[in-house]
Amino acid sequence: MIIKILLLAGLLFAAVLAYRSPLNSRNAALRRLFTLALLAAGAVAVFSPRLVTVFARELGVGRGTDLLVYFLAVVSLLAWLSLWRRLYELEQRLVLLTRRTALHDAQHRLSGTHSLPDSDRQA
Amino acid sequence: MCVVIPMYNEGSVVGGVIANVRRQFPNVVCVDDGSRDHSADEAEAAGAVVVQHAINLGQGAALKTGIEMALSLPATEFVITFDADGQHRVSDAVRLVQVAREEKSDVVLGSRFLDEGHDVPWSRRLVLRAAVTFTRLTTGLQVTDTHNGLRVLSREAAARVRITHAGMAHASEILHEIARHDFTYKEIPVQIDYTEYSRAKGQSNLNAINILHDLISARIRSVR
Repeated sequence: MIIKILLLAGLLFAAVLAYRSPLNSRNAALRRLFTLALLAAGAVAVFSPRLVTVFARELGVGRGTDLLVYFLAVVSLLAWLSLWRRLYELEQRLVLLTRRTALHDAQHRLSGTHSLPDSDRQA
Repeated sequence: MCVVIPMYNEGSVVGGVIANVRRQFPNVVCVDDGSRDHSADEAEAAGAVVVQHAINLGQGAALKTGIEMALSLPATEFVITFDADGQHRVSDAVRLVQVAREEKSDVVLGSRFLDEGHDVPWSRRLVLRAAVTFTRLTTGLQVTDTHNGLRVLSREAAARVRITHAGMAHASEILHEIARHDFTYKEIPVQIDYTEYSRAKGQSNLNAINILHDLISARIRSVR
């Protein structure tokens, strides 16, 4: 039963993360800590599968492997959303950069030549 | 007055289009959105000020770049957006500017559905009809053509309209911006010439899915 609450919370967290969390150093640090914790948990699971099964029972899941699957699903979702988010931000920055250089070049060329035709006539 | 023409690989027609436009509007800013052909040279030869994106970003981004360039020219009182493929008529653009002046509208939009007897391909008509309904529901704007590239924006409107979508969703975004800023707007009937050329490269109807996705995810992102 607890597992259902945990999974729902995990999914909700993923949704919020996907659209809301700013990409700053604080979040990066938290993300890294989270990754380390995940790796540690993974190590524990490898060393003692029995522990995983015990843990699973506590949460209301039948088998250790089932818990692992649920866990994997949520983590994969989080990872994918995080990547998608960062790709989006990257795309935005690329647009800004391209625009900046394009305008800069154009204005530079413009000031080098005589002014636009009819720029002094009423628009 | 400045005409902004976003362009991507229209080397075969853009020269003629710009030449036509310049007969009525001498100031043309043409944004080359990373074309792989000689579009930029054609545009420049025809007398446009060419702004080149190093990579292809999308029509929305190209439009925004063009508008920024247009606004950097102090003589620009109105910004006219115009397509590079020859589908728009310069005479329509002239009329739109006239309306903008006379009615003091912040924005004047061209619509191909305001009067009957236009040969819009039926599949396109269907998708556009859906887009119109969606737009009316989400913005409250009573428009009949949500994806028409022919518009006139006053200098102030052009400066305040926020275009963040690089792709085709920018058209809907502009309408949302009109609603958000409460700009006065008018829709004027215009003719779109569906040539063999433009039909071949027109927006596929599947793209409507992409547009819808862009708009919805933008909505989610903006919820505070």
